[in-house]
Amino acid sequence: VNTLSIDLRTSLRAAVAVAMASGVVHLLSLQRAYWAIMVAVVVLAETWGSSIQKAVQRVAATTAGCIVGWGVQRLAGSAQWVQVGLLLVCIFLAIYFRGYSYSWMMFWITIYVVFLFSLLHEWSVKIALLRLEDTIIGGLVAIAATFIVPPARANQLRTDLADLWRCSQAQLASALAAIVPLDAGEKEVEACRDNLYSSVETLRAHAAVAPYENILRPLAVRRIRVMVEQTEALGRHALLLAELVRFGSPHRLRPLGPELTAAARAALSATHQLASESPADCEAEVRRACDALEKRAGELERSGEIDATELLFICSVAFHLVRVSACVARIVAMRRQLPANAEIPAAREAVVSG
Amino acid sequence: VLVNDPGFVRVRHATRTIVSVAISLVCLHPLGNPLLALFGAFATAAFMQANSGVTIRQRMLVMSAMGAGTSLLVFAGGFCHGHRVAAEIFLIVAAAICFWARHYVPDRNLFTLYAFVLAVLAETDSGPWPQPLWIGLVVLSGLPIAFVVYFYIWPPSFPRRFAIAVRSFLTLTARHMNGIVTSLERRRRWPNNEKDVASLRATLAATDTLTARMKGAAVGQAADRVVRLMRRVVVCFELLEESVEAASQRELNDLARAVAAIENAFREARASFLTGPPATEPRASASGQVAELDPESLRDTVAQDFKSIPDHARDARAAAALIEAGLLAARLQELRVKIAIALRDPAFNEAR
Repeated sequence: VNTLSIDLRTSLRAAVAVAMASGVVHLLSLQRAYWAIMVAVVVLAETWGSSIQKAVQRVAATTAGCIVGWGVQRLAGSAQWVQVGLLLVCIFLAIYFRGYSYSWMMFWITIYVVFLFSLLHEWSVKIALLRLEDTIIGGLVAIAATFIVPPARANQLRTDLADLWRCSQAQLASALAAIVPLDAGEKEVEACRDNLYSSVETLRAHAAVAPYENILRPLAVRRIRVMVEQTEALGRHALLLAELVRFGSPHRLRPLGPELTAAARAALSATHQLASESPADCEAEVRRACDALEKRAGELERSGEIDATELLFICSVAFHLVRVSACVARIVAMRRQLPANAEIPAAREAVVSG
Repeated sequence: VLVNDPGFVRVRHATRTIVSVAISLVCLHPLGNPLLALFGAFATAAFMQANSGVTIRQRMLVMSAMGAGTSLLVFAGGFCHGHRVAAEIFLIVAAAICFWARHYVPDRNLFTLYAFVLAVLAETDSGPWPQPLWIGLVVLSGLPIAFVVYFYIWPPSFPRRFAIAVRSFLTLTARHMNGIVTSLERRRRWPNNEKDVASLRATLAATDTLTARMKGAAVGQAADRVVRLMRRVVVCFELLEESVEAASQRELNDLARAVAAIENAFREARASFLTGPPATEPRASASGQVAELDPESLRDTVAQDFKSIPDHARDARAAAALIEAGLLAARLQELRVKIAIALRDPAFNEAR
């Protein structure tokens, strides 16, 4: 990541935000101009979505803080030691939440401001309204500044999704290769498994900003959320299959060879739909293959050709293969419905390398 | 607190910040000027947050640079008070500088913005000369207070805090396993562990933030290994959610022996998370030690119970789900052993 370029642009954006905020406060003759200027700068973030998220959180936390602070201040009375004590409690909580939750930090800072003004005998509902008004103005100015000096679009979600799709495919192929004759490309499997474990966390963090990145497209936000959920589920099924096959006995599954291979191939070809420009509906095919596999396993178990252990193993494998294909089908359907400029990976980005 | 601050790092830091603010207020109180006391206290709290860096030397440098830079900025801001054009130009430049300064902060933390907030307040509230100088000096006075409190009073040992955070994580994991054991004991539906997984994930994320403070050192590599294992523990719980969905849809009474075996497996796994990794001797639980789980024997127990049910085909998915749960219980215990081994890394013990 080129942090130099990001920091230069953010600095420029901050300068523009201050200039705009100064202009607005003079135009509207705001009494406490510094609040608007401060907010305009501190809610700026590296991406458009994060800036909006911070602005929204700041306004919401300030509103809640003013209301709660006003109530607590009335209850606490005018005893100076109580107010100083509450000031210290607010500082403690603001610091505690710093770096963990911006909303909670701002909530406690706002209550702190209420008590500070109360100590100075300046607190009134008018002050609360002024702070709220200035916070909203500051937030709007910050968003306007991101229009003038636009930040980079957040593309982490796009990268995460594409990574997880590729890793899930590789993981699934390697898991199935342990029980049926398939070519799985062994070299990336371990790295992919590690990546599958860690990417889920970053995916969630980046997905949390996605609604703000697409704030003007609520339908797209819902579809992206579904895609993220299904991608996580896809990864989990692939991992669970990898765990299961560690205890499978391929030689005992030989009587089921043709059915198992057909189901595995159908599931793999379903995951390849993630990398296809014109995806076909593979879910029904996987379902059919897995039904046939389970039926055949049941017959063989009744005739004593395979044991109950193998039947249950097949039952698990079939269940997860069907779920994998269902996840892929939903991801592909959502991707098809999203606009071309949405921050989601295109089919070509999901191609497994090698 | 256990979930979001498992190493109690944030509680300690917030407490120390309050101590530094109180010291600052006590020191500046004799000046008899509430505005100066307020600036001093705010600056002290702000400098306490300027602690980015891996080594202590780096952190000292960051805090000192922040203190000196903020004092200069605040002095300049106070100096511009009353001159509209100068003040506006100053604020524009100050905002750009504060964001640019972030480039030189090791973890690109945005505490540099506190300098901007203090500068805006100085520009607004400062009076005529020599008030800007006084404000600049009281802000600078926050630096030695923050420096002494941060580095010499109850200083954080991140490897130690990390070990405490891992223990909190293990305790939470055991607690969540308890929910699974209880529901199996009472033949109830499997508990919805979505909330439990979310809290484990939050604990993991909070623990992971501590590894950034140890990067580059041997202890940092050991910590990274532990976090990777913890991540696998969390994913095991998520996988459990996937696998038990089918089992919860059916009365488990038909598979009583299988359920009892899985229940016992989770009890053993929980014990290993609470008391430490299992002994290598099989069936050690009889002698009071935690037994090592064998996934294959668990699988066979469930399969035998399944086979003994007449017309057992309808129970296949429930039995398969129980096998998956058993595998995951064994996997969890295996991960617990690996975590214990990773925590025994000499680098960790030296750092403690």
